[in-house]
Amino acid sequence: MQTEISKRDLASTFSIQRIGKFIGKNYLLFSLILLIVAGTLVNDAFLSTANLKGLLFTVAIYGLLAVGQSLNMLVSELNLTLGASMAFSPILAIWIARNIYAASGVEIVRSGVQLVGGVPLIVFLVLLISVLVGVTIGSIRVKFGVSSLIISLGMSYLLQGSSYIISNSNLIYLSEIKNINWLGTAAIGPFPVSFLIFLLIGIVLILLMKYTRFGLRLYSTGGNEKAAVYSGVNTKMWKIIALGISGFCAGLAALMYSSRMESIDPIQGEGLQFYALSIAIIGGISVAGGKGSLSGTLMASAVLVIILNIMQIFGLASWYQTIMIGAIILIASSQAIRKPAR
Amino acid sequence: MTEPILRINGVSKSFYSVNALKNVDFTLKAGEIVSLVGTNGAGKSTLCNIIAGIYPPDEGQILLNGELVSISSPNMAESLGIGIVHQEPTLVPRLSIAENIFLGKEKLKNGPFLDFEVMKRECRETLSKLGHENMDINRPVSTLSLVEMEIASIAKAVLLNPKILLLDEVTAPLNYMEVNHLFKVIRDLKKQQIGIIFISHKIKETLVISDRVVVLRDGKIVSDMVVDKKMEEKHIISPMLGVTITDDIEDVIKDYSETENREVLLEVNDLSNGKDFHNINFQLHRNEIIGFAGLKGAGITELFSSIQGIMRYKSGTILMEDEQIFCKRPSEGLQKGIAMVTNDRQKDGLATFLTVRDNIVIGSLEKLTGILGLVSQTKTTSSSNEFVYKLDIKTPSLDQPVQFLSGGNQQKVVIAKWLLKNSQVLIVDEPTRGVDVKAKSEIYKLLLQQKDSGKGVLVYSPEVRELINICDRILIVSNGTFVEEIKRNSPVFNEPYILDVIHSNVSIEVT
Amino acid sequence: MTNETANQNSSDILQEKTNGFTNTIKKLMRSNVSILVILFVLVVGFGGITNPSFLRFQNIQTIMRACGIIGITGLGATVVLLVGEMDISMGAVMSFTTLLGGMFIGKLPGQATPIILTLIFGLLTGSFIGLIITKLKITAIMATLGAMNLFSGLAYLLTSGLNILLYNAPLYKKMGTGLWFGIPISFVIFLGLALVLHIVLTYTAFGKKLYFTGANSKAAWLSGVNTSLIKTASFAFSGMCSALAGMFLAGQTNQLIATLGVGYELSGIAIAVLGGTAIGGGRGSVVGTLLGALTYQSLLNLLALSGLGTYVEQVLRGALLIIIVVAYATLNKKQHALR
Repeated sequence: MQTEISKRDLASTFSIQRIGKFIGKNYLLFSLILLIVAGTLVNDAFLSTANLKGLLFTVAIYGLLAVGQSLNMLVSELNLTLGASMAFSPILAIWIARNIYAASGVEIVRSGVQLVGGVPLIVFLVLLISVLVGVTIGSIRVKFGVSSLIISLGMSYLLQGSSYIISNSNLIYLSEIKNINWLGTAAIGPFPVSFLIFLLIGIVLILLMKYTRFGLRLYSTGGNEKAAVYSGVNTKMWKIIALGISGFCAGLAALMYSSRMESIDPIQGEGLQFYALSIAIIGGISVAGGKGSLSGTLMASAVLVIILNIMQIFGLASWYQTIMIGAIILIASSQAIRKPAR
Repeated sequence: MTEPILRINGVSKSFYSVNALKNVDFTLKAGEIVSLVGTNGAGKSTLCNIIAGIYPPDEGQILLNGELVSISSPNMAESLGIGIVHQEPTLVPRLSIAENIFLGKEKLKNGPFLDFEVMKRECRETLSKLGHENMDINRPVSTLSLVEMEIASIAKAVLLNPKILLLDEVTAPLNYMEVNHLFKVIRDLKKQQIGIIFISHKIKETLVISDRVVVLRDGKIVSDMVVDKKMEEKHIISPMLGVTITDDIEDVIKDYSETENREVLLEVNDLSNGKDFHNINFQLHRNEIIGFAGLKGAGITELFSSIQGIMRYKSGTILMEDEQIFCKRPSEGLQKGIAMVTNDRQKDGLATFLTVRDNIVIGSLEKLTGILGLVSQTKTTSSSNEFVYKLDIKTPSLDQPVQFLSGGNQQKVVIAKWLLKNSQVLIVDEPTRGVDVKAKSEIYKLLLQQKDSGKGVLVYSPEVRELINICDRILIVSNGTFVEEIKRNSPVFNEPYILDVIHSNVSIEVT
Repeated sequence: MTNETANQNSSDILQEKTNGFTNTIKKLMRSNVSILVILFVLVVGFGGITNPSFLRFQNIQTIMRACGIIGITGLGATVVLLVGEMDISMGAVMSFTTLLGGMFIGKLPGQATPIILTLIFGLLTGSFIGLIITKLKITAIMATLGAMNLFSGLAYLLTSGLNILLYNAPLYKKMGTGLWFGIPISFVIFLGLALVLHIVLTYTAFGKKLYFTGANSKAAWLSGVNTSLIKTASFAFSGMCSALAGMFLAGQTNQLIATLGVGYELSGIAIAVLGGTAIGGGRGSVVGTLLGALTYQSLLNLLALSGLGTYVEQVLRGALLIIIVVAYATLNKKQHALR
């Protein structure tokens, strides 16, 4: 009798239902582990320092954009300029810096394509411009009541076209600047500095959201705007703040990317706002607003990047990525699929 | 006694030339529960919102403990000791009770950091004041039951120890047991000498909980009565509607005959949706109007909606002209010949940007076509005009967008839509809500015409008087099931008896 | 209920038509069409004065040719907006369906076959999007954003990222560059489609149900309207418009490339909103969209004539969308306040 009972107990503890529930709740972690395993199977050098450095750099870029987009989604907004901003901010920054320096007779862009100086000012301008783009979207949204989706849609074309016009469709090369590739390539072991910065920003945001009013403001603005307003929360301001931070993320990503490529390409970043959106959705951020957690986004960044990497190893051309991103957005938004959102 | 904690003198308020409040005088004493009642648009929420600082009055004064105050914002109202629980959910679903209660007034330590200990402690203290110190304050509010959510909302309002508490329709989503529960909490607050203004459309409740009842109609206070044991619903409903119960609305049914040998149109067997109604059995015959009597929340609207196809039911069968039907959406019910006039006509019945004509004909487009299968302007005009005339809908033209019509006329447009449809079975939920007296008798006449032309009608009205006027028999519903059937030729087919049956089946404690 | 229309003789029909006509005029005047007409006249006037080549017949033909393409997408955008949704995937669907249909050029008998196939693909992709929105309850935003990426990627897949030159497709060329009594065919088809759409929207039961669904979908549903069907049909129509516009564009540029339709969803929405179609649904008209298309394209043409390149056009398209949407939001707020 006794052995029978204990067998039944064992069976119930390890019942498929309970295991299924456990996996469902921690789906990101399990996906990550599965993908790392798959990666090593497909690529012997998957866990090598060189490969990891490359992967983690991409995680930094996509992850930064995803974190920014997640904040937008939490307050029920969307920013489709993240990709275009990655080209626009540096290009406009260089143009402005060039003119400022030219006023005192200094030429920082030789032959129109080679950057030779003015880096600190340019870095500052990149971040400033990208934040302003986000803030502008937020302000228009808040003042006129037009959805951020449409505003940022129009803005993305505006920025992209402007990038081509200002740069004359030319790349701007950074190779003559000493140590310009530090941000994009420096690493501590297999961990790129860019990745560590991304992780730092992510963790700081998570902590801020948990231990200060920051999180409550964002969640209430997106979760029940009326209730938030009645409680005295300035929801309009917080929407602008979220959009501004997402702009900052785009600017920072731009700096990292251009540093690594040692150039600024008017086409860089194209389409990445959708990658950011997919990552946020995978990570459990609700499109409706007010639900989801940044820790999910952080893990989902790694998940998506590894998936993309495996696709590349299989020789799939870049458009397969776009197809997959589209499928992810469609499938993951279907309310038929329940996501355990915190 | 002492000066009332709240005194309102001559307050008026208008929105875009609509007078919401006209010269209102109102007082509230400490430890007093005053119910504010009135039909939709009577001005209850407007008055509440002014007290809560959401917008200022256009004219008039507000005095707190005898001192003149200007309540310029919700924050100011809060600091003056006024707490409000709004009608719409004011909780953020993902956040916990503690986080919700302290939203906007978080306690901090060491600079910008949230002081969870202090907040949790104060949260528990506030909840224990409401008799609920054991509620789980860490779970997201979305996982709580309805009563718990209302209590959390009240806790949020009571956090800063207000002297005045406004409760706007807090019992609306609750059933009888939950309301009892909440009333215990409210009575405890009263013991703490808090002055409470209680808004509810469930009149019976207001009789149970209040010390005084104040009735608003068209923005004016028309009645201010102390509640005593002899007070009945009709004493409140009567001033609410502007019709004294002793007035005889023209006795419309001249003769009546039993429903023998009448064809059964609609048959409902053992219908139940597991939540709002159960064990519903009845037959609707041709040339018959059945009235459903009961309180709001008794499950009648849900029953009606399930028959038409708007809602789903769990078990039981419905037969229409001897054919079993399973309506999963309104269009299916309409196809089978069942139409329903819902009670939230403005929100669910109208497309406000579209015209009177468009709104009246939308349900009947198929039969208004002319050459080439295109919708015929002539036909839509004549059909719309027919009902504009019959219901006396005041509109400059058929092509006036309905958003420019008054509320009452908007109601009539929706009713016109369904009358035009001319379905075999017509279900009407609150036929004369929001409609003036003259139009009421028009609507009764039209319902009777439906009956006479061989249709069957199911009607619900919270006004038993109405049902008495037009129905062949009345089914009394309480707590989701039938309690009694009274035929027209029965000696007890009268208002006092029916009201009595309705209320005796409702148990609300009067401690 | 009276049945007066038992005998519809000619005078009744005339009366009906006159009533219909005056009602249409009244409706138009209540909407923003009068502003639009003034705007159009201003743009054309300004163009004529500042640029000598603006009013030359050849330039007018250029305007009409482009206006036809943009206008067709505008009609699709209008219908979807009317029903209370928004279709951001139109550009991607334009590329995808045209390319997919283009694969069959020369491979099947009949010059018109690839064209018909393309239109069918348009209807199918539109229906697909409509179905996932109504059946799977995905919000339209996510559905069309996802569809945008999905079909854009598929378009690249079909061409492997290459430019494919159209050859052996004289019918496409005719569509893209042909004239009918001096008027570009794309514009003629646009006008024809607009007329048909106007009749459907204004005079058929389907059209009236469509407006009602956009104005208050719950009320429509309760009134017995099959809102899922109407919404799916709207997306199907929009898909067909994308396919049609795509073929005209391919015929004009003589190539099949994956970026064929990029940006056209933007113009489509801009034109619709410019023409008075409200983003929330229930308000808008074909006439408005028509005028909007003419005004918009004339403006773009004017700027192109001033020697500004394609990128400037892109910038302006983005800016115009924002300006138009913001302007109409402000106008509507004022209207509401006056109530």
